Amino acid sequence: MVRRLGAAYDWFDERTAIRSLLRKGLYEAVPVRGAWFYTLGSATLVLILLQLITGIFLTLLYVPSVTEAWASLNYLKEHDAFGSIVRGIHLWSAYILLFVIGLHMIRTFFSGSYKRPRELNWVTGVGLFILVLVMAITGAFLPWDQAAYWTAVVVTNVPAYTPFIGSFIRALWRGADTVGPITLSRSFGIHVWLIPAILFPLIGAHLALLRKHGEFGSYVNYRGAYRSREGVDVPPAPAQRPIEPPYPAAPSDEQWAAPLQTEDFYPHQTFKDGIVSAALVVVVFILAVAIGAPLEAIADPATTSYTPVPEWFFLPLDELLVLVPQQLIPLVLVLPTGGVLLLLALPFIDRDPERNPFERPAVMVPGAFAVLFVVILTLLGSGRLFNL
Amino acid sequence: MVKSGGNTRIFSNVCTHMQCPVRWDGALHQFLCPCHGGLYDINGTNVGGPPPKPLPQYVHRIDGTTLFVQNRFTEEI
Repeated sequence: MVRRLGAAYDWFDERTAIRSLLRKGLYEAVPVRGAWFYTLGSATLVLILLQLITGIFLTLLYVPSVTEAWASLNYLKEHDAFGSIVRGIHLWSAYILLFVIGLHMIRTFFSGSYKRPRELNWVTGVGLFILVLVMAITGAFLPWDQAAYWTAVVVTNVPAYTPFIGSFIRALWRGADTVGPITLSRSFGIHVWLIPAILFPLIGAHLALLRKHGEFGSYVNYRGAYRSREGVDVPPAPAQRPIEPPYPAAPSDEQWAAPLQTEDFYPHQTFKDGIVSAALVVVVFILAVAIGAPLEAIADPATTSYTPVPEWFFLPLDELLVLVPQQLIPLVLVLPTGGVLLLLALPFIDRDPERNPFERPAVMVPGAFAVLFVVILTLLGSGRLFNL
Repeated sequence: MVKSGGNTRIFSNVCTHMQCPVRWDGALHQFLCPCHGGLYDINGTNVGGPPPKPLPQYVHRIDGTTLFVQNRFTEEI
């Protein structure tokens, strides 16, 4: 029996080269220390795949029309316990995905992993972050309950403050002057087709670049970490010791070209990746069953009693909307746009090879303040809305 | 709808800031927007918070005891 299976595997390998593909995929060298920090990327990927799977199932029953959208989800809520859990998983894995992708970005920022030759890893990552945000925004419109409708009204109104072409952009997104049937069709198309069609190839590029340059890790894995310490033997330069691919054997910057110690991706890193991803999936399942995805009353554009409360990931933007005075409203566009442009430009502005976060205060301090600014806006927003 | 003296005004309840649904707050004696705390006085003038403009008014006509409201604002918004 075992021999039969072996023969079948050989047959398959002769035709697909599956053996060398697996070997290449699993036995890649990764830096040894700090490996729990490197699980955030794979956790992001697992949560995105969970989004894809539950999202496909939701399209099997959701109807993207203003008369049927809410009704189709209300049917789930009233009559389909399993479907409700699927929708709960879709919502909660989206929430946790946004959180984990933020941590992944912060980790990459503070470890200086975006530096040469990994600039495009960072740029594709920022692109993925933006696309996931667009998914979250358009997804929030789809239930067409009160929360969804008023989120759509406020969010599509923000670009209206763009100079000159503001109302054009708003009308383009809404499909009319006001939020209505075309807004829903358009957001549905963007959510299930347009963005995924860009998102998944970009994930492929992000992973291909990761494999090309290898995991960077953090400064503690590198010869550069030993430069300024007294009484510590500086490890030999990469040129004097064997380097495992994918790290370059002939480095351009020997302090940071290759980690001092590596281990195989499998089973060491895959084990840690698996633990973190599995734990997150379990948390998502628990939240999906225990809390589920809420569905408020159907959208009522004529309401005079409903108080719109934004999704938690809109809180920083919503607090900006409160704080920015009437003369400066375009700031609510300028600040996020400027932030994204700065993120994209980061690896081309900060080109110093130094990776130790304690030795590059010119980047760390503004970065920490930016993170703090977003956190404070979120806290202010939640305090205002929930009277904390 | 606000009536002061012989003057009647029909306001849209769409906030001029982010288009949230504005409502009359009896305690404040002002129109309040629940989203970002915009305030308008009884004449629809923006008096607090982020709204950049007064509440828009609908074109209307009173014929005897019947009020006609047209789906059109007195000024471009």
